[in-house]
Amino acid sequence: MVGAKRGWIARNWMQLPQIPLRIGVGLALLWHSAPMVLTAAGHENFTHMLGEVGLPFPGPNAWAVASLELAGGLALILGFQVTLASILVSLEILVRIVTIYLLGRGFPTPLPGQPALPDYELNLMYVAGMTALVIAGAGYYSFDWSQLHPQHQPTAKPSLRHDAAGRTKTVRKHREGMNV
Amino acid sequence: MSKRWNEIAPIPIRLVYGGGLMYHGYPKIFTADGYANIVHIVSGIPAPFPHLVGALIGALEFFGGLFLVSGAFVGTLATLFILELAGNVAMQLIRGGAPPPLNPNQPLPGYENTLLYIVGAIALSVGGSGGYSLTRMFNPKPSD
Repeated sequence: MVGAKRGWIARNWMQLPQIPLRIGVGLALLWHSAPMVLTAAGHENFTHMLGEVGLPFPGPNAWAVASLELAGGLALILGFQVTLASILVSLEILVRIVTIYLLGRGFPTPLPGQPALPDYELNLMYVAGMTALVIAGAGYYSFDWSQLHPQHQPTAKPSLRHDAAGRTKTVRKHREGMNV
Repeated sequence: MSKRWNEIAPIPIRLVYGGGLMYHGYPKIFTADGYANIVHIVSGIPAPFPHLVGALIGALEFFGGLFLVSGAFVGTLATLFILELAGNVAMQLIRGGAPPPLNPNQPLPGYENTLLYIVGAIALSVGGSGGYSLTRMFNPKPSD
């Protein structure tokens, strides 16, 4: 099929898979990090676990890591600086896996009634999802896309434009997403 | 040049999510206690034909994960995974949680894991298998 003859969804198909990925990974990051930043019990639990694995300055580090994950989750959902946020949060997770889980003291025990740190499976799923976002970009319906392509906002209808001779012609927009 | 969901983007999702599904599905169909565990959970939901449904879930997760890793039938399998996981979540929400597993090392995945599996499966069902896959090996030109 020729791109110009296809509908909006078909023409922009390759900017769509990022959307569920951004929202899902972002929500999961918020689910984890919000209690650590916004509740005293969550912050105390995270500080306790970081102290148990031997990390220096567990209190400030707990604030820094939880804030990074919270900001990263928000950035992914909004599609703002998705590449930077994905790289930073992925690096934090990979450093945690290598230095604490593999080479350090393993999984710390949480305080009673509080959640533990995510296991290998969940951490790898985060990293895989964010790696895909680094490669593919934020996709449509994101701040990144609107900043890069202010004239190519997603719209289902082609716009009308007048050419030099004053004739009205139909202009198809946003061909960046075409799968051709 | 704009970034897009290209031939490389699905690969980390396929490898990690497919590997995770194989990890979950293997004990369900290849070990006796894993099979007994999933039959116990399915019958406690309750779902009909728990032995058959348990075996089907295990086979779908293991062989479906294998196909995701190798990149064959990715769109179809991803859609099946979405249905399976969404059904799992819906049944748990309706019943107020899954029955406790027989083997504490083999619980159902939590909501967070399930959410990530679902969004990864949606991305794969929309974006396709990508490169370095059996699909691309037998169909060198990306389908358009």
